[in-house]
Amino acid sequence: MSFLENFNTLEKERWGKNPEWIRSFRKTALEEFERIGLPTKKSEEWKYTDITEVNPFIDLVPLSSSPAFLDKTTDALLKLPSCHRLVFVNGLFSPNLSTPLSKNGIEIESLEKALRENNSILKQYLGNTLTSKNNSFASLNSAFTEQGTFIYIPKKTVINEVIYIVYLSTHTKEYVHYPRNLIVLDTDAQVKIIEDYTHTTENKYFTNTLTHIHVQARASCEHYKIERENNNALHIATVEIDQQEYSSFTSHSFSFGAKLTRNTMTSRLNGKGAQCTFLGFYMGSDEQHIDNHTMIVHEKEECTSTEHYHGILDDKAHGVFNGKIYVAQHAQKTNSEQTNRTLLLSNDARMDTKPQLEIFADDVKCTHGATVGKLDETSLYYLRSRGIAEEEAKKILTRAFAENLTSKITIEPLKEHITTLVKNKLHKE
Amino acid sequence: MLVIENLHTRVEGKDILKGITLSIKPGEVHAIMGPNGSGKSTLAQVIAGREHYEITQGDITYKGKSIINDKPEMRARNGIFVAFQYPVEIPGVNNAAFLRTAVNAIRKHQGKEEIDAFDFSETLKTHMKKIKMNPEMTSRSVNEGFSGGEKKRNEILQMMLLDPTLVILDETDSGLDIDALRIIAEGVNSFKNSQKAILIITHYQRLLDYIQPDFIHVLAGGKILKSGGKELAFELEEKGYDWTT
Repeated sequence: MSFLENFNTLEKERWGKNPEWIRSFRKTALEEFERIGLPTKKSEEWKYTDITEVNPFIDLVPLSSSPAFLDKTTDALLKLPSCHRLVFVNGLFSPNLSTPLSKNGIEIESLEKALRENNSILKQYLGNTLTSKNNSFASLNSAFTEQGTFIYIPKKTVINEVIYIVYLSTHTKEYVHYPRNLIVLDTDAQVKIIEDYTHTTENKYFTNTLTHIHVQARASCEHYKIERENNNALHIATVEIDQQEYSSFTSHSFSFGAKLTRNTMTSRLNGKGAQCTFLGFYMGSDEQHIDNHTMIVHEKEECTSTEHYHGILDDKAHGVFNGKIYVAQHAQKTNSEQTNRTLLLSNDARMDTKPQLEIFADDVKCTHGATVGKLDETSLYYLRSRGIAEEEAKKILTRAFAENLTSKITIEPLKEHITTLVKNKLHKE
Repeated sequence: MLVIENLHTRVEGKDILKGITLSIKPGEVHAIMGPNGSGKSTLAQVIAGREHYEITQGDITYKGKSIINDKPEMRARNGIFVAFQYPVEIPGVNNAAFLRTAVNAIRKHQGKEEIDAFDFSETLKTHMKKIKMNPEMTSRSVNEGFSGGEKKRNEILQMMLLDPTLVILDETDSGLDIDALRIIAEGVNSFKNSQKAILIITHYQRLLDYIQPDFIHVLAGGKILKSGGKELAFELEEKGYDWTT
């Protein structure tokens, strides 16, 4: 069946009782997707990333029945001592494994439930879409929006426990899922959120995920995205952030798994004095392809953006980084810093990096730098001259390179998990 | 212990050492003095095994065996230690962890058990006290943000921990004030015994006021021009290096 037929079937069988606004939202998105279609390598934004393998998945219909609960399911989750957890298995919300919260105006819920209840805040923000024009995968996600999370943190509310969202793949057949997360922090709210993409199956599947985050005035959000899908999976993610005055947003994006990973991440600084930090860390081996496209739009004055994307590529892995910084004419006193550093552990690994600065204001401070290279020979020699074997010395230096970004994780148990993931991947365990 | 015979080396197509012959026995302290660019540091790095340098002629034997094909880590494990002129800063690698990894690599080679974190930290404290090193230096990254003096102390600390047989001090005195120089010299002197040999590479005489050499060699233009006792240092101090060129 084609995606169009799938859409019509779902519309008839599953979505008939949904509120009218979401039905028309999906329809508009579908029309948008039909209009733009899938990107090709001719498109500037997809020059280095071939998505041929994604094509057949577009015509699969997302699963509709809950999979059997497996014992090892919980082993795949991060062990966090206390958190609000929302678990999705093969794209479907799993109430048994989740601890949603709906209290004092706080909503940490499944999107499906919020849709069913026709939540007015959901309607206000999901309808008020952030999506950049011409993002095929975001449109496709919108057309099939049903499963995912809805998080609303009311004014002046600080959530002390981490919100942990997991998309777990266990299915033993090829499948597609369209996770959709809407996160709204009202004025002066604070929260830390982890989005984790993981698996128990080694089967091929396609994740097409979209997260929208609204950070209202003076609110503060820390967002972690951990992509550790299996090495056959295809993972395409869009994260879009709207920041209002004096808000603070920090992204920690980790890419370890998947045969193909594409992250498109955009923050719009729509209020004076907003602060945005993008930290990205990627590790590729075998023939993995990891593409990070980021954009920070300085729309208002006195905003600060800090971006560091660092990665390690081994074997025949291919990395792509495209970091756009846009400073509008009236966005005076902008402060912006960007680095992209890639460590190549093999002669066959490849990195394409492109910083892109578009500055229309005159009173700005913007710096950027990109490096691609091997381990420092002098450091390596220094360690070896103290009796440390070459292989061990390489591992020490590689781990130190990763430390730069992993040390910035503020959730201690998560930092341990990530450090272990880095170590295991380096030792090919 | 160390025998260098007619050693010629080349770096990036340029001949640096042009026939060095030198023999060092256990218990001896040798000093190599020479002007900048004479090849002093190259000699230290070639003995340590830096792959960057090509040996075009001659041989280096250590404890009776040629070492020119040994990797730097093997030379270190067999007891050769070079205190670097410019110790390398390695951000992200904890200094104490690095020191312990190095000690354990050498212990393992000697067939000894690995030292555990607690015992190691005790040993570390004792040695650091001897050279008046700030305890904070172990929790930082290797040499990162260390002052010149702190870096040189960190080298001497490594020497004491790794307990080598042959120590090469490459311009260890450069960038040190007189107090630091004295402390470092004391560290070296207390380390010295009849089984160990020390090779001091320096531009100036002042370190030799604190560590008395048995032999002094004058190196210039990649060759040893003159060898003699410690009186040679005074001669150099007086005349300068001009006569060597």
